[in-house]
Amino acid sequence: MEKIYEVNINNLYSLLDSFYGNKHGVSVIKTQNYTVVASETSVWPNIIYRTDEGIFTDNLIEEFIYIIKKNNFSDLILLENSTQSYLKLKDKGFFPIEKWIGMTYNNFANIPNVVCETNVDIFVTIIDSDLEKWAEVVSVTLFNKKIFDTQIVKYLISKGAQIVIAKSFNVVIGTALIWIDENNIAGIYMVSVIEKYRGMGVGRKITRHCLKIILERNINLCILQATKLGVYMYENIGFERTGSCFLYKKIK
Amino acid sequence: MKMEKKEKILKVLNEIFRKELNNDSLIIDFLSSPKNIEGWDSVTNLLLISSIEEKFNIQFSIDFIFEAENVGDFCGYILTNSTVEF
Repeated sequence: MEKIYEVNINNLYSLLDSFYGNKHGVSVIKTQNYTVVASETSVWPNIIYRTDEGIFTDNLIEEFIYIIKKNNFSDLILLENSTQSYLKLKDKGFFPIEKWIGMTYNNFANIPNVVCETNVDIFVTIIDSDLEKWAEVVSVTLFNKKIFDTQIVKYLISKGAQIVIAKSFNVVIGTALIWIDENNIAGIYMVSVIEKYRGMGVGRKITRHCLKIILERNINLCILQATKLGVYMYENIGFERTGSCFLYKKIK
Repeated sequence: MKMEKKEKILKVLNEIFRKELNNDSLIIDFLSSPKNIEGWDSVTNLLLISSIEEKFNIQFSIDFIFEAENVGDFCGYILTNSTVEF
Protein backbone atom coordinates (compact mmCIF):
# COMPACT_ATOMS: atom_id res chain seq x y z
CA MET A 1 0.00 0.00 0.00
CA GLU A 2 1.32 3.46 -0.88
CA LYS A 3 2.36 5.36 2.24
CA ILE A 4 0.08 8.34 1.69
CA TYR A 5 -2.90 6.08 1.05
CA GLU A 6 -2.07 4.19 4.24
CA VAL A 7 -2.40 7.50 6.11
CA ASN A 8 -5.71 8.04 4.37
CA ILE A 9 -7.23 4.66 5.17
CA ASN A 10 -5.86 4.66 8.72
CA ASN A 11 -8.13 7.58 9.51
CA LEU A 12 -11.11 5.41 8.59
CA TYR A 13 -9.77 2.57 10.74
CA SER A 14 -9.36 5.02 13.63
CA LEU A 15 -13.00 6.08 13.26
CA LEU A 16 -14.14 2.45 13.25
CA ASP A 17 -11.83 1.55 16.13
CA SER A 18 -13.67 4.05 18.31
CA PHE A 19 -16.38 1.39 18.68
CA TYR A 20 -13.97 -1.05 20.30
CA GLY A 21 -15.55 -2.55 23.42
CA ASN A 22 -19.03 -3.28 22.02
CA LYS A 23 -20.48 0.22 22.10
CA HIS A 24 -24.15 0.69 21.18
CA GLY A 25 -24.58 -2.79 19.77
CA VAL A 26 -21.47 -2.53 17.60
CA SER A 27 -19.23 -5.59 17.81
CA VAL A 28 -15.56 -5.18 17.08
CA ILE A 29 -13.69 -8.43 16.43
CA LYS A 30 -9.94 -8.03 16.06
CA THR A 31 -7.68 -10.85 14.89
CA GLN A 32 -4.10 -10.92 13.70
CA ASN A 33 -5.21 -10.63 10.07
CA TYR A 34 -8.37 -8.56 10.08
CA THR A 35 -10.91 -6.50 12.00
CA VAL A 36 -14.68 -6.82 11.85
CA VAL A 37 -16.86 -3.89 12.93
CA ALA A 38 -20.55 -4.80 12.80
CA SER A 39 -23.69 -3.14 14.09
CA GLU A 40 -26.85 -4.92 15.20
CA THR A 41 -29.12 -1.92 14.76
CA SER A 42 -27.60 0.25 12.06
CA VAL A 43 -26.52 -0.08 8.43
CA TRP A 44 -23.23 1.58 9.42
CA PRO A 45 -20.68 0.59 10.64
CA ASN A 46 -20.61 -2.85 8.99
CA ILE A 47 -17.20 -3.59 7.60
CA ILE A 48 -14.39 -6.14 7.50
CA TYR A 49 -10.90 -4.92 6.71
CA ARG A 50 -7.61 -6.70 6.60
CA THR A 51 -4.87 -5.57 8.92
CA ASP A 52 -2.17 -7.72 7.33
CA GLU A 53 -0.48 -7.13 3.99
CA GLY A 54 -0.27 -10.72 2.84
CA ILE A 55 -2.00 -12.53 0.03
CA PHE A 56 -5.72 -13.00 0.40
CA THR A 57 -5.85 -16.73 1.10
CA ASP A 58 -8.79 -19.06 0.54
CA ASN A 59 -8.79 -19.86 4.25
CA LEU A 60 -9.16 -16.21 5.15
CA ILE A 61 -12.07 -15.77 2.74
CA GLU A 62 -13.73 -18.89 4.16
CA GLU A 63 -13.29 -17.40 7.63
CA PHE A 64 -15.05 -14.21 6.50
CA ILE A 65 -17.91 -16.25 5.06
CA TYR A 66 -18.20 -18.15 8.34
CA ILE A 67 -18.34 -14.90 10.33
CA ILE A 68 -20.99 -13.43 8.03
CA LYS A 69 -23.18 -16.55 8.22
CA LYS A 70 -22.70 -17.25 11.92
CA ASN A 71 -23.58 -13.71 12.98
CA ASN A 72 -26.09 -13.02 10.22
CA PHE A 73 -24.08 -9.93 9.20
CA SER A 74 -26.01 -9.37 5.96
CA ASP A 75 -24.90 -5.73 5.61
CA LEU A 76 -21.23 -6.49 6.14
CA ILE A 77 -18.93 -4.93 3.54
CA LEU A 78 -15.43 -6.14 2.85
CA LEU A 79 -12.85 -3.45 2.20
CA GLU A 80 -9.87 -4.53 0.10
CA ASN A 81 -7.22 -2.34 -1.49
CA SER A 82 -5.55 -4.88 -3.75
CA THR A 83 -7.02 -5.49 -7.20
CA GLN A 84 -5.27 -8.88 -7.17
CA SER A 85 -7.84 -10.23 -4.72
CA TYR A 86 -10.72 -9.57 -7.12
CA LEU A 87 -10.98 -12.92 -8.93
CA LYS A 88 -10.40 -14.94 -5.78
CA LEU A 89 -13.11 -13.03 -3.92
CA LYS A 90 -15.47 -13.27 -6.87
CA ASP A 91 -15.04 -17.04 -6.99
CA LYS A 92 -16.24 -17.12 -3.39
CA GLY A 93 -19.31 -15.00 -4.09
CA PHE A 94 -17.99 -11.56 -3.09
CA PHE A 95 -18.75 -8.92 -5.71
CA PRO A 96 -17.30 -5.41 -5.88
CA ILE A 97 -20.06 -2.90 -5.19
CA GLU A 98 -18.08 0.32 -4.90
CA LYS A 99 -14.70 1.79 -5.66
CA TRP A 100 -13.34 4.37 -3.26
CA ILE A 101 -10.72 6.80 -4.41
CA GLY A 102 -8.60 7.99 -1.52
CA MET A 103 -8.01 11.76 -1.61
CA THR A 104 -6.00 14.23 0.44
CA TYR A 105 -6.06 17.98 0.93
CA ASN A 106 -3.30 20.08 2.43
CA ASN A 107 -3.65 23.49 0.82
CA PHE A 108 -5.32 25.11 3.82
CA ALA A 109 -3.86 28.52 3.04
CA ASN A 110 -5.98 28.64 -0.11
CA ILE A 111 -9.34 27.05 0.61
CA PRO A 112 -11.28 28.10 -2.48
CA ASN A 113 -14.55 30.00 -2.48
CA VAL A 114 -17.41 28.10 -4.00
CA VAL A 115 -20.60 29.21 -5.68
CA CYS A 116 -23.80 27.69 -4.38
CA GLU A 117 -27.04 28.21 -6.28
CA THR A 118 -29.31 27.83 -3.30
CA ASN A 119 -29.62 29.39 0.12
CA VAL A 120 -27.84 27.11 2.56
CA ASP A 121 -26.67 27.35 6.16
CA ILE A 122 -23.96 24.90 7.23
CA PHE A 123 -22.99 24.29 10.84
CA VAL A 124 -21.84 21.70 13.37
CA THR A 125 -24.70 20.35 15.43
CA ILE A 126 -25.31 18.34 18.59
CA ILE A 127 -29.05 19.00 18.77
CA ASP A 128 -31.09 15.78 18.93
CA SER A 129 -33.64 16.75 16.28
CA ASP A 130 -30.81 17.75 13.88
CA LEU A 131 -28.99 14.46 14.52
CA GLU A 132 -32.13 12.50 13.77
CA LYS A 133 -32.58 14.38 10.51
CA TRP A 134 -28.88 13.97 9.71
CA ALA A 135 -29.15 10.19 10.16
CA GLU A 136 -32.32 10.13 8.06
CA VAL A 137 -30.67 12.00 5.17
CA VAL A 138 -27.55 9.79 5.33
CA SER A 139 -29.76 6.70 5.31
CA VAL A 140 -31.60 7.85 2.18
CA THR A 141 -28.66 9.30 0.26
CA LEU A 142 -25.89 6.82 1.10
CA PHE A 143 -27.42 3.60 2.42
CA ASN A 144 -30.45 2.84 0.29
CA LYS A 145 -32.87 3.87 3.06
CA LYS A 146 -31.55 1.29 5.55
CA ILE A 147 -31.65 2.42 9.17
CA PHE A 148 -28.75 4.59 10.31
CA ASP A 149 -29.11 4.54 14.08
CA THR A 150 -28.98 8.01 15.67
CA GLN A 151 -27.42 6.44 18.78
CA ILE A 152 -24.36 5.66 16.65
CA VAL A 153 -24.13 9.32 15.68
CA LYS A 154 -24.42 10.44 19.29
CA TYR A 155 -21.77 7.93 20.32
CA LEU A 156 -19.38 9.25 17.69
CA ILE A 157 -19.94 12.80 18.94
CA SER A 158 -19.01 11.60 22.43
CA LYS A 159 -15.76 10.29 20.93
CA GLY A 160 -14.96 13.60 19.25
CA ALA A 161 -16.66 13.42 15.85
CA GLN A 162 -18.24 16.58 14.49
CA ILE A 163 -21.57 16.29 12.75
CA VAL A 164 -22.01 18.85 9.98
CA ILE A 165 -25.46 19.66 8.71
CA ALA A 166 -26.64 21.78 5.78
CA LYS A 167 -30.04 23.41 5.92
CA SER A 168 -31.98 25.34 3.33
CA PHE A 169 -34.83 27.34 4.83
CA ASN A 170 -34.65 25.10 7.91
CA VAL A 171 -34.87 21.87 5.90
CA VAL A 172 -31.90 19.49 6.20
CA ILE A 173 -30.50 19.03 2.70
CA GLY A 174 -26.94 17.84 3.30
CA THR A 175 -24.60 16.08 5.69
CA ALA A 176 -20.97 15.44 6.60
CA LEU A 177 -18.95 14.04 9.48
CA ILE A 178 -15.45 15.07 10.56
CA TRP A 179 -13.16 12.68 12.39
CA ILE A 180 -9.75 13.69 13.70
CA ASP A 181 -7.49 10.73 14.39
CA GLU A 182 -4.62 10.14 16.82
CA ASN A 183 -2.12 11.44 14.25
CA ASN A 184 -3.96 14.75 13.97
CA ILE A 185 -5.24 13.97 10.50
CA ALA A 186 -8.82 14.94 9.70
CA GLY A 187 -11.17 12.75 7.74
CA ILE A 188 -14.35 13.94 6.06
CA TYR A 189 -17.07 11.29 5.80
CA MET A 190 -20.66 10.92 4.71
CA VAL A 191 -20.82 14.01 2.55
CA SER A 192 -24.25 13.81 1.00
CA VAL A 193 -26.90 16.05 -0.50
CA ILE A 194 -30.56 15.12 -1.00
CA GLU A 195 -31.45 14.51 -4.64
CA LYS A 196 -33.50 17.67 -5.16
CA TYR A 197 -30.53 19.90 -4.29
CA ARG A 198 -27.79 18.11 -6.22
CA GLY A 199 -25.84 19.95 -8.92
CA MET A 200 -26.21 23.32 -7.17
CA GLY A 201 -22.86 23.41 -5.40
CA VAL A 202 -24.20 22.29 -2.01
CA GLY A 203 -21.72 19.38 -1.75
CA ARG A 204 -18.82 21.72 -2.57
CA LYS A 205 -20.03 24.21 0.02
CA ILE A 206 -20.35 21.51 2.70
CA THR A 207 -16.82 20.25 1.93
CA ARG A 208 -15.43 23.79 2.03
CA HIS A 209 -17.11 24.37 5.37
CA CYS A 210 -15.55 21.15 6.70
CA LEU A 211 -12.11 22.35 5.56
CA LYS A 212 -12.67 25.63 7.40
CA ILE A 213 -13.58 23.74 10.59
CA ILE A 214 -10.48 21.56 10.19
CA LEU A 215 -8.31 24.65 9.63
CA GLU A 216 -9.61 26.13 12.89
CA ARG A 217 -8.31 23.01 14.66
CA ASN A 218 -4.80 23.75 13.29
CA ILE A 219 -4.74 20.56 11.26
CA ASN A 220 -2.84 20.53 7.99
CA LEU A 221 -3.89 17.27 6.35
CA CYS A 222 -7.38 16.18 5.46
CA ILE A 223 -8.41 12.92 3.82
CA LEU A 224 -11.57 11.41 2.39
CA GLN A 225 -12.75 8.45 0.35
CA ALA A 226 -14.55 9.58 -2.79
CA THR A 227 -16.85 7.62 -5.05
CA LYS A 228 -16.60 7.90 -8.82
CA LEU A 229 -19.37 10.50 -8.82
CA GLY A 230 -17.75 12.69 -6.17
CA VAL A 231 -14.12 12.59 -7.19
CA TYR A 232 -14.28 15.46 -9.71
CA MET A 233 -16.00 17.72 -7.22
CA TYR A 234 -13.24 17.12 -4.68
CA GLU A 235 -10.53 17.63 -7.31
CA ASN A 236 -12.23 20.89 -8.20
CA ILE A 237 -11.82 22.01 -4.58
CA GLY A 238 -8.14 20.98 -4.53
CA PHE A 239 -8.08 17.41 -3.23
CA GLU A 240 -5.57 15.03 -4.80
CA ARG A 241 -5.90 11.31 -5.47
CA THR A 242 -3.77 9.03 -3.33
CA GLY A 243 -4.94 5.50 -4.11
CA SER A 244 -8.03 3.38 -4.20
CA CYS A 245 -9.78 0.46 -2.61
CA PHE A 246 -12.83 -1.65 -3.34
CA LEU A 247 -15.87 -2.56 -1.30
CA TYR A 248 -17.21 -6.08 -1.72
CA LYS A 249 -20.43 -7.67 -0.63
CA LYS A 250 -21.21 -11.36 -0.33
CA ILE A 251 -23.91 -11.80 -2.94
CA LYS A 252 -24.03 -15.55 -3.64
CA MET B 1 -16.59 -5.26 -39.90
CA LYS B 2 -15.84 -4.10 -36.35
CA MET B 3 -19.13 -2.17 -36.25
CA GLU B 4 -20.98 -5.20 -37.53
CA LYS B 5 -19.54 -7.32 -34.72
CA LYS B 6 -20.41 -4.65 -32.17
CA GLU B 7 -24.01 -4.65 -33.43
CA LYS B 8 -24.13 -8.43 -32.99
CA ILE B 9 -22.78 -8.11 -29.44
CA LEU B 10 -25.37 -5.42 -28.76
CA LYS B 11 -28.16 -7.80 -29.78
CA VAL B 12 -26.93 -10.45 -27.35
CA LEU B 13 -26.53 -7.84 -24.61
CA ASN B 14 -30.08 -6.66 -25.22
CA GLU B 15 -31.38 -10.13 -24.41
CA ILE B 16 -29.28 -10.27 -21.24
CA PHE B 17 -30.49 -6.83 -20.14
CA ARG B 18 -34.12 -7.80 -20.78
CA LYS B 19 -33.74 -10.90 -18.64
CA GLU B 20 -31.79 -9.34 -15.76
CA LEU B 21 -33.84 -6.15 -15.63
CA ASN B 22 -37.05 -8.11 -16.08
CA ASN B 23 -38.23 -5.96 -18.97
CA ASP B 24 -39.21 -7.81 -22.15
CA SER B 25 -39.62 -4.66 -24.23
CA LEU B 26 -36.31 -3.02 -23.26
CA ILE B 27 -34.23 -1.77 -26.20
CA ILE B 28 -30.68 -0.73 -25.45
CA ASP B 29 -28.15 1.06 -27.63
CA PHE B 30 -24.45 1.91 -27.30
CA LEU B 31 -25.24 4.97 -25.19
CA SER B 32 -27.52 3.17 -22.75
CA SER B 33 -26.29 3.61 -19.19
CA PRO B 34 -27.54 3.48 -15.59
CA LYS B 35 -28.53 7.13 -16.11
CA ASN B 36 -31.13 6.34 -18.77
CA ILE B 37 -32.07 2.69 -18.14
CA GLU B 38 -34.57 2.18 -15.35
CA GLY B 39 -33.56 -0.52 -12.88
CA TRP B 40 -29.87 -0.58 -13.83
CA ASP B 41 -28.46 0.01 -10.37
CA SER B 42 -25.44 -1.28 -8.46
CA VAL B 43 -27.15 -4.59 -7.62
CA THR B 44 -28.52 -5.35 -11.11
CA ASN B 45 -25.14 -4.29 -12.48
CA LEU B 46 -23.58 -7.26 -10.68
CA LEU B 47 -26.16 -9.61 -12.19
CA LEU B 48 -25.60 -8.13 -15.64
CA ILE B 49 -21.84 -8.51 -15.33
CA SER B 50 -22.16 -12.13 -14.21
CA SER B 51 -24.45 -13.00 -17.12
CA ILE B 52 -22.33 -11.15 -19.69
CA GLU B 53 -19.16 -12.87 -18.45
CA GLU B 54 -20.81 -16.24 -18.71
CA LYS B 55 -22.30 -15.62 -22.14
CA PHE B 56 -19.10 -14.26 -23.70
CA ASN B 57 -16.67 -16.38 -21.69
CA ILE B 58 -14.74 -13.38 -20.37
CA GLN B 59 -13.71 -11.86 -17.04
CA PHE B 60 -14.12 -8.11 -16.74
CA SER B 61 -11.29 -6.47 -14.86
CA ILE B 62 -12.29 -4.82 -11.60
CA ASP B 63 -11.18 -1.44 -12.92
CA PHE B 64 -13.36 -1.84 -16.02
CA ILE B 65 -16.41 -2.58 -13.87
CA PHE B 66 -16.10 0.83 -12.25
CA GLU B 67 -14.93 2.71 -15.33
CA ALA B 68 -17.51 1.49 -17.86
CA GLU B 69 -20.04 4.20 -18.48
CA ASN B 70 -22.39 2.71 -21.05
CA VAL B 71 -23.30 -0.32 -23.13
CA GLY B 72 -20.86 0.80 -25.82
CA ASP B 73 -17.99 0.34 -23.35
CA PHE B 74 -19.19 -3.21 -22.64
CA CYS B 75 -19.36 -3.96 -26.39
CA GLY B 76 -15.81 -2.66 -26.88
CA TYR B 77 -14.46 -4.75 -24.00
CA ILE B 78 -16.22 -7.88 -25.22
CA LEU B 79 -14.99 -7.34 -28.79
CA THR B 80 -11.41 -7.06 -27.57
CA ASN B 81 -11.42 -9.80 -24.96
CA SER B 82 -13.97 -12.46 -25.85
CA THR B 83 -12.97 -15.62 -27.69
CA VAL B 84 -16.58 -16.30 -28.68
CA GLU B 85 -17.14 -16.03 -32.46
CA PHE B 86 -19.65 -13.45 -33.67
